Amino acid sequence: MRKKKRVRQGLLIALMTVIALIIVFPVYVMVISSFKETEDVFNMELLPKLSTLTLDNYITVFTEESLGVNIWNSFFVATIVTVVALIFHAMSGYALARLEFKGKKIIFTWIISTLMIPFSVIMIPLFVIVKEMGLMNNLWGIIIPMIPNAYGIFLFRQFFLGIPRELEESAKIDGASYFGVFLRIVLPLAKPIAVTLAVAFFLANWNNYLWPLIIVQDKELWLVQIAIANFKSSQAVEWNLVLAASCVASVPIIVLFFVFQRHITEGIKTSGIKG
Amino acid sequence: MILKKRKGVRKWNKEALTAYGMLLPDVLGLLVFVFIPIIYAFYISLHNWNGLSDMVFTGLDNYTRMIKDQRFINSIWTTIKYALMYVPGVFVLALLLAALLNALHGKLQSFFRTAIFLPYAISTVIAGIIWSFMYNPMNGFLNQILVWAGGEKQRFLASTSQALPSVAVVGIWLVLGYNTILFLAAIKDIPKDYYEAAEIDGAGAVQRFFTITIPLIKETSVFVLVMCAIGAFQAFDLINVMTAGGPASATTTSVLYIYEKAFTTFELGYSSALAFVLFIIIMALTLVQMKIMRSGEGTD
Repeated sequence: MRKKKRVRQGLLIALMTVIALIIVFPVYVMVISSFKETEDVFNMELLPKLSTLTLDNYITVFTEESLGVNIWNSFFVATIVTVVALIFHAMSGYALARLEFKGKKIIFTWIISTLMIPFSVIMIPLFVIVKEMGLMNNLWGIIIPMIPNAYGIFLFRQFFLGIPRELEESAKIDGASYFGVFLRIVLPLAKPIAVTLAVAFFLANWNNYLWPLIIVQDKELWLVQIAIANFKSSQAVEWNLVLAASCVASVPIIVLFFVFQRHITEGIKTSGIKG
Repeated sequence: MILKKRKGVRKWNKEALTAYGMLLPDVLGLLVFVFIPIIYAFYISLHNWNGLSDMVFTGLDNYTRMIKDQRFINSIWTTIKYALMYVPGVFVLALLLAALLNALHGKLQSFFRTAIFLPYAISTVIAGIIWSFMYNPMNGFLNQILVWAGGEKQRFLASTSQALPSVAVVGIWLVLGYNTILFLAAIKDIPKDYYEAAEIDGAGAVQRFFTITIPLIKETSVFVLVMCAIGAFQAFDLINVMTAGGPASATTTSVLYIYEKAFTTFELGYSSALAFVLFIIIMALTLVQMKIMRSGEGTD
């Protein structure tokens, strides 16, 4: 019986190894091909000799293409959206979780109802609104409409509901204002949910493609995803260059992925339960 | 007594004012960038407008035009076909992987979970690029593997019949890890004694999976199915990068068609009407989810 179990466990590990290799294979292809010369790129050598590899592709994408600028644009957009969104959503979440005011229920229901509106349905009016605001072909035109997010408000509210009230009560007795209690007592406790949301927002905005595609035209304003997509759709695709650029654009996300994996999976689980 | 009451009123006002102040930025943002746009979308859909000249009110003309628009009908069909490959693909594979992962423990489990989850760290655009490279009809890696295994070269993205399934494979690859984690969390929530009791009764692993696991993760299953269906109906990035809707419109799904009408031919009124129909479809899917979730609450 025990032997049978061990055999079964061994087979399971073998099967999982094969599945994992298949799933990771494309990522490995990206990395290895990005170091190959143009003429070698379709040569399916999965463990090439070190001497056949080159860093030239990386030098080219940074010097001849504007990849550095595009990466900076993405970093700028994703960071601003994340920071501002966290501040706004923490405030809204706290007001909805703890403060008493008229119309609380209606406001909360209304905020949650905006979750049902998919982006692709409102992209045309959004484009018109941003155009009217004079923010076309401007990074702020990408940033500002991406800040409001009912999901972030909801998660902050849930988190604040779970904090014991006693902490706030004692500060209030000491004469602190409502906002002071929020700022000094409650906000420092919200670090776990803030990190989870920060990673989620940064990822979503770094990877965003459709919305920036609508807003910016100038090459100097392209975000990294647009730059790479355009790189690929150019007449003669130089795969080794496109893949090198893809690797560079993936590095920040892969680092975030490994550092914050637990936070990311926690975020996914709550989205599933609360969904 | 009177003094206390007065103090109470003042306190309440201060509290309410703080609350409104704290809510203001987000409420304003949601109003201008989500709520007004959905109403505005419907308003634009009743007009003929290229975004520059004056709007011309045309009533429901844009909606009746759709019925005769063969390209629109085709785009809906393409979207449904995509969903029929993508949704069951994600569902079955994620559930299977979660069940397999659950049979492993400790470090082994987290190692394989990380491997399966890795594509999550790759953006949709970059995933589209890597796979386009591998799908190359001349000498892409997948064709090299096919030839090596004794098969014939395939045209993949360059073929009208293979392009859509080829894109769906990449879509599944991208979200598989995410959904596996959802299923794994749900499976781990099932009390161990259910399985032990079934094992004593002589139920095999497969039987336990179908009689215990499947019924007890119903809520997660519905969530995954509906979220994937909504995702399939909104698919854009991957398809635009890999095929741009081609070859011969074989992969032009609804959002690609809406995008084309809005930002290539600048028919903003018509494309808004198309977007509104998409909204109704997605809304119906959401309501189905809510209904099933509600009916599940009673049985838990």
